[in-house]
Amino acid sequence: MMSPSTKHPRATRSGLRWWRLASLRWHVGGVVASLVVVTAIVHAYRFGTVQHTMHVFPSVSCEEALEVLRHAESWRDVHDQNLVSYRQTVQRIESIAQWLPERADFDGLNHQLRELADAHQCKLLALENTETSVGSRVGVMICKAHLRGDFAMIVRVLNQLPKLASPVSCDGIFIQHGAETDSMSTWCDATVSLRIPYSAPGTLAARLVAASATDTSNLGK
Amino acid sequence: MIHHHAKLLGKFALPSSFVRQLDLLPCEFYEEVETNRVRGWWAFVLTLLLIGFGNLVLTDWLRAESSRRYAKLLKDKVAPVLEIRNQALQQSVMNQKLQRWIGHVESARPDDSLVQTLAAVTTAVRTQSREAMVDSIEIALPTEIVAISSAADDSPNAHPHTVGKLAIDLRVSQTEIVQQLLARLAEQPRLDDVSVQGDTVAGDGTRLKIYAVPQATRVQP
Repeated sequence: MMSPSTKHPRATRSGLRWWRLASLRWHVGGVVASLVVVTAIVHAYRFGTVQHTMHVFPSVSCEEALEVLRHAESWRDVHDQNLVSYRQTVQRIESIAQWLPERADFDGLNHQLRELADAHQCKLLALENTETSVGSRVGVMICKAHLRGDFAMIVRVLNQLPKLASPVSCDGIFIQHGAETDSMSTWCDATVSLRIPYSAPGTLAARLVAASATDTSNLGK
Repeated sequence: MIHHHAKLLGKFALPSSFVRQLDLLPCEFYEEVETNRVRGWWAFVLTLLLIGFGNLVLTDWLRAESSRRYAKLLKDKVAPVLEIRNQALQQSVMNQKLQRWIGHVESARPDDSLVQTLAAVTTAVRTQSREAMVDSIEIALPTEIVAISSAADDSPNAHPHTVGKLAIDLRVSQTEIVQQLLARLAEQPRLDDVSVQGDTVAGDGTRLKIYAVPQATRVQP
């Protein structure tokens, strides 16, 4: 295009003319270069935003969304199973709440133990409340009971303790033959250490009941 | 050459080299012609570039638009499934937590461990009731040690507990049966580390103290 053969011989490049043509060439180069750069930037920008990080939600990309959609049925199944198992959990919590009293009730225990001892021909000589301790699971009221009666009957009383309305666990016993009776008799004196669990505040039991109470309102529908 | 000139310069083409010597047109005229020609080419190239650029922009915009529409469609479809999935995940975590807590609280439920241990002792002793007279039995089952931090702990995996204690006071008429008795006691799955201590002859028989470590299925709270 700019070959000398196509040029008129008198079209010589002198001073001003040369500058005009030179500036034109620079202009050409500049515009072409800027177009290329702008095109490249726009293209890169488009590719960067549209193609690679297309998001359905700010936290969920398209691929994740498609994956979730593909497993929609299984997610529904999981959800249903969770609801079912949640209901079972709530039932178990309710059954715990049935046997676990909210407060330590010494008078009630005294009454129940006396009835139990009378029913088995034993004597409840004394029942004293020594202390309460709060563990990680439940709080317990620790009592000491003195029983007198036939060995078999005492064992039966002990056997009945966990089956009371508020179950009593027995963690220690000192049982010996009655001092005043002869050696052939089976009458015994028993000192029994009793632990009566209750849902003391701060324990897992109390938190469990509280958790089920708060969660049934929004999830148990 | 001249033909070529004629084609390029159009009506300004000169007929021959002879006439060229009569050329009176100024140098600026030829420069202008040259510049115009270059500008023509440049305009052509620029138009091509602009077309290409516009094409690119338009394509990109359409692609972005279509993917935006696709994302919106996907969003409408995936939103309920995502909600179900998140709810299911959240709920299964909560279920697991609650079931763990339930397991811990259930492990604090009173059971008949003490009666079982007592039964283990009596069944071992009873077969030799003629030769062995039991004066007293003392049992202490393992109980949970209340740590200050454990009440606030979210998931107490193992409850720290005391070691159980069992002591039997008995009199035997013949010392030979002691080994049998010990073997019988050691056979019991609920008794570990059976040992005997303190042979003091008193009156009709030998006084013995048998020690063992009782095992409980649950740590008493």
